[in-house]
Amino acid sequence: MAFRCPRSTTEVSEKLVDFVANPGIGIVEPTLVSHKPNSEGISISDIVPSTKGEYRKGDSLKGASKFNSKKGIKASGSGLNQSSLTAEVVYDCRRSITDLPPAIISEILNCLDPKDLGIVSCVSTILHRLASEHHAWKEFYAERWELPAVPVALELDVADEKSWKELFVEREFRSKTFMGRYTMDVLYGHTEAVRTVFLLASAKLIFTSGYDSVVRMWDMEDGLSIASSRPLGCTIRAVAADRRLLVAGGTDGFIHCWRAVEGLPHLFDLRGSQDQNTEVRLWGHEGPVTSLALDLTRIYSGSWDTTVRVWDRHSMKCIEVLRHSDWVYGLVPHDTTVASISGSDVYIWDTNSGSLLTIIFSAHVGNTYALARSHTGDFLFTGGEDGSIHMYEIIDDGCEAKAWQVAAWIPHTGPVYSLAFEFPWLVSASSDGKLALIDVRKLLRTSRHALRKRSSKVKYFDAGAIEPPQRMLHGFKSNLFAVDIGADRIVCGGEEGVVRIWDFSHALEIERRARALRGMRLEHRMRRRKLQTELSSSKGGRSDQCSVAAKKSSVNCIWPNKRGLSGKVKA
Amino acid sequence: MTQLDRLSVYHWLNAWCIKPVGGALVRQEPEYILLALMGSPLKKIMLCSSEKEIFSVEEQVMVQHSVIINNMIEDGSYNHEESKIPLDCVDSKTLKKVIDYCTHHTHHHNDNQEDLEAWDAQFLNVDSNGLYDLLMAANYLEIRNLLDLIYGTIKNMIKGKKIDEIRRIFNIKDHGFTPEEEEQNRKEYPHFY
Repeated sequence: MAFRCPRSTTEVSEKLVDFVANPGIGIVEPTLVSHKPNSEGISISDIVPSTKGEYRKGDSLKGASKFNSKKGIKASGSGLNQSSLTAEVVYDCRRSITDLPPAIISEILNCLDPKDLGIVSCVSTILHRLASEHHAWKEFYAERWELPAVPVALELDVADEKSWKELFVEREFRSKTFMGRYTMDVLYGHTEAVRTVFLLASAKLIFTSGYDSVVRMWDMEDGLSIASSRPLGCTIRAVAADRRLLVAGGTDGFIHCWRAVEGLPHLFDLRGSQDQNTEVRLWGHEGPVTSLALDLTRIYSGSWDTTVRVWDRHSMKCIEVLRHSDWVYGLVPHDTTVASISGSDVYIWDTNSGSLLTIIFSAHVGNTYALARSHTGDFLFTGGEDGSIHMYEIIDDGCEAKAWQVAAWIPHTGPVYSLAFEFPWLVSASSDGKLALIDVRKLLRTSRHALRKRSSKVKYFDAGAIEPPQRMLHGFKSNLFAVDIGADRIVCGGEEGVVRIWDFSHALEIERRARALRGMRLEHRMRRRKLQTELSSSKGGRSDQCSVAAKKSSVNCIWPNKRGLSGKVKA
Repeated sequence: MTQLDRLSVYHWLNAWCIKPVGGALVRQEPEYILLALMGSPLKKIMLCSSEKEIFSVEEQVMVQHSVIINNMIEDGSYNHEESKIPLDCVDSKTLKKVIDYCTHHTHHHNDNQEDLEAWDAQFLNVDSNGLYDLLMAANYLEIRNLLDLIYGTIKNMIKGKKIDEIRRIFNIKDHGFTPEEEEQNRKEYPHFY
């Protein structure tokens, strides 16, 4: 059987075998389909697979690289369409869905979720073509994660251009890394407790700060300290950053901003050694600033003076003040709304009008300290003083917004101080010194389907479907105050004054290697056994010596052990 | 005014201080009241199927559902006395079903959700050929809610099924993969088959 795929394809397919949590999406490498660039030349009337197969065997290695996949698919597509019409003539009684015009099939595929879309792409080549290039993959990606900065490909032949389906499948697969092995790095530098951490994945930087009032910048991959600011005068309780602006909020009520400097590899000049134009302080709050967030045009700050202020980034002026009834502990903006936690309530505001969309009263027993939000803004996660984490869904049907509780977990014995979310993992840091990792994938799926109905049915809270946290990271005796997640890493800071980075990025390779080794060993064992049974059955009596010899010889030649041949086996 | 909905009709009636008088008027659908006031009650249009069979339908019914017919009538190219709308892509059986759908949904507009859904489910209880015909017709006539309904049905047919089942349900006799590709797929994703 000549169809042995080139290395890259095997890698991808192996990846997907491991894809147990969300049972794999059927990705047939586009190259497999592209192996029929000659098919349009084939006489249309032969539908018999064997003739096609012969053509393909010849071309199997030629079309192996990804880059001609686009061209190949288009060519094969036209060939297949014609063959499908003849199929209609031949099998007359019942028509097939593939006979419908592609636009309609596309619309049907639009309704499916990723798993079904993947299954459909394995059903037939026509569906494969339609399903793999469907725009839904980009939408699936966009609703879970930030879109990757895709460089504009000038020619279609660029080998790097991946389809959204591949990107999605890859990313979905990578989300499994958090169940694998990690390497932990401990970053020393702060002299007192660390109260806030922020991971900027696009620049590979980590910003931390705390009671020592110094903002430190670390390299995400090396774990080395890059820079630290001068003492800012008071405890810093909140830090946020994007590629152009870094903001830190202190207990004196100011927000210290650093603008990114052109040409600096680490974006921000924390020391302030150059001219003072890059640093600004925003005053306005009357109490400690406890939470900060950025979006493209605004800065959001929440404070213990019970207000959330919205600042315009260009003018650096406060454009809105949202008043709460109690201290504001956290906030997360999304688009035109901002969710904030105050006391034990969760408020959701519309920033255009400054009006309140909805409130969740008493989300927790005691204060609600932590807030996280999904990328689409529909799901809120709150963590409270009672050690529990709740998940809410916000349904906004135009006239009003409502929040429904979807799930609750109680993984901690102490208050949950911080939450971070990146699909599908929710991480929580608590005063009991533990981090809980929760996979919310299944919950999000069911919510979406209920959402489609948009009826007035009350969503019920199915306690049976909720699983406990998939993983806990522990071993720290002191409070953990802040956590962030991104780029296959989890960063956490706490009372000890150290910052910890758990690096999961190699978990998949380690897993794959271990699996490959296991597979190899299994194969050898099976082969040996087969050999043994063959010998014993064919040779009858004198099997012992021969089988032992056979064993030795087979081990010698099949297993090129890295460790070298062990003593026993050497004859 | 071609797209009628209940609210706008009531507003219109209110603006003109017209109150329904007598039991008979109260029980009728607001669309009929308005039509009665406009002078030509229950205007009908003719639809001609590909088999040259002519169907007579209330204008408002079709106009409310089908964007294509709505546009045709608004354009003024349709003359009520003489012309008929030729629908060469739709055969009689399907056209009848489509008209049935539109009429039912217009008249039973105010029924509760469950009854409508039950009727829809019963309506779509056809074999796959009929379903595809309906789909093509709804697509041609641009009847949004019928299209969504059929998409939903097909989606449910696909959801949660394995590949072999899908091939069987949708009658995909030749999947087009080479035997090697097929075997590779089966080996890699056995739980899909």
